[in-house]
Amino acid sequence: MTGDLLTILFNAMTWSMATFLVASGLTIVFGILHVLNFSHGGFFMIGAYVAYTVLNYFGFEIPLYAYLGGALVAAVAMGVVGVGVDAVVFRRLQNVEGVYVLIATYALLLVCDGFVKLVWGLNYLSVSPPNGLLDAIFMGDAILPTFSLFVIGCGLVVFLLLEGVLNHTSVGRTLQAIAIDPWMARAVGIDVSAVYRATVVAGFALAGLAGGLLVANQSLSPELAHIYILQAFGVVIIGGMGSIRGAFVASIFLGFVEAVSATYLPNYPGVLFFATIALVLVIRPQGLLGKEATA
Amino acid sequence: MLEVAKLDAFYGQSHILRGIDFQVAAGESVALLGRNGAGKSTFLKALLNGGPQARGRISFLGQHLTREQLHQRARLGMALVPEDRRIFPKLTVEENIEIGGRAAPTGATPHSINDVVAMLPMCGPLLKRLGFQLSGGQQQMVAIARGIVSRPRLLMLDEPAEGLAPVIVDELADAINRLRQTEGLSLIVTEQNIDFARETTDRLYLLDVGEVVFSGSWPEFDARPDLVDRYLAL
Repeated sequence: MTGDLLTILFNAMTWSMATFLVASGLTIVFGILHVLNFSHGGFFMIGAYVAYTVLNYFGFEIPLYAYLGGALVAAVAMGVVGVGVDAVVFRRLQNVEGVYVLIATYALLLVCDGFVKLVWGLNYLSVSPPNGLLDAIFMGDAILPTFSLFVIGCGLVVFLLLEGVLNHTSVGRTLQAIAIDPWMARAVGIDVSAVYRATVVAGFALAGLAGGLLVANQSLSPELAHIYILQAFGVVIIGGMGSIRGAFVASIFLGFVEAVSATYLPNYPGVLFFATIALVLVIRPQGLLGKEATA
Repeated sequence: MLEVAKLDAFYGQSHILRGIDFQVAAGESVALLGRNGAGKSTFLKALLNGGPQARGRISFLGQHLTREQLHQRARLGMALVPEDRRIFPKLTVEENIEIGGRAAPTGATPHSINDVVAMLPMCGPLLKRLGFQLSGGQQQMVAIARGIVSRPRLLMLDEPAEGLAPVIVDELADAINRLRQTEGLSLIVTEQNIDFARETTDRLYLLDVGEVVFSGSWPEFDARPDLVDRYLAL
């Protein structure tokens, strides 16, 4: 029983932090630009494939530094892609209705799908975890893969870094000012358009980083985007749109829902997850840490 | 230092300002009076390129302003204290003031927080408070502090006395007059409150439905009591 509990706890945290890694870029872009980027999962997926391509050179013996390096390459690559996507797509979405944003970013997601199918094909691909993260820790009946510990650690580090930047630096204060009142931010001399560009790049880089860090967490297929984007959207919505802390709390909450569901309702995948999201939105439409009135 | 000639401003199809001529000399303080909807805020926003489409000539410190965006005009030394104050609610007062320093031109250092508090002592005890925890008068003082921290050359106050208790209005007038002297600021004060405008400015323009209907000194204005009835009485 304690083994079960520990397994649930551990699986919950692994799911949570993996999902948070994907959701972090999504929620930042929404929080600052108020653009809900449906294609985020697509760029996460391309990030994973980029890391796969890098790590392919190492075969089955991937040193940890190479694994982290692959994630970094994926982050930089997606950041560069972000520059282009911002110029071509996002900049046009600033003052249009949400439905156009949805259509435009959904179209981008399809472009990502097509790109992945063209470049990497339809087959399932996989990357093994790096050296040192291939085994598991045994605690009672529970088996805790060290790679999952790595994923949990990555999620925590990214969360703490983002929290630190957003709440304790002048960059963070600038972002908060822009998120609340972009006009006034301009009136005090801030080049808000430049900050928007940087935010999109950061959001895309986070998607790429998540793809690279999680590349060994599951097999790679063109379906990857859709799996993660639903999870990440759940987390962003439940956490309160645009809140990093909310996304973090919500990812842990939904992680537990997922883990309980996987253990006790294995034949009904996703049912408890979506039921919980619906229930939370009925009780707190603004999300767990969202504000009553959005700015 | 500010010269505006034949300024027209539009919001979409609505023609809000028509042929405005307007000057402010260095160190001068000028009032812009008019009823709600006369176009006072639109005028300030048009100067800053902060919303309305503007046509006409605006020159500031000898430079013709054409395509400069809002943030660029702010960095040229035009500071606006907007009508609704727009204090950033989730930042502290200190952070709100600090962020105003972003408007300092490249190479120039903004005032320190201590300097600003020395100029506007009401802000002193508020520094650690969050923006949304301020009363209307406190918001106004903080908005002015945020406006002057970057050492602007022109400070534009949009209906600063609106909604404030008479005691606070007096304090505000004193603070503004002190700032004029210590900072050598030029000022534009838009108001419906004639007494407040009189206390803080040297002369005035009167705006009605987007057109300047009077400009002159306060004694000249007082010699025409019909102006108040026609253009300012509710």
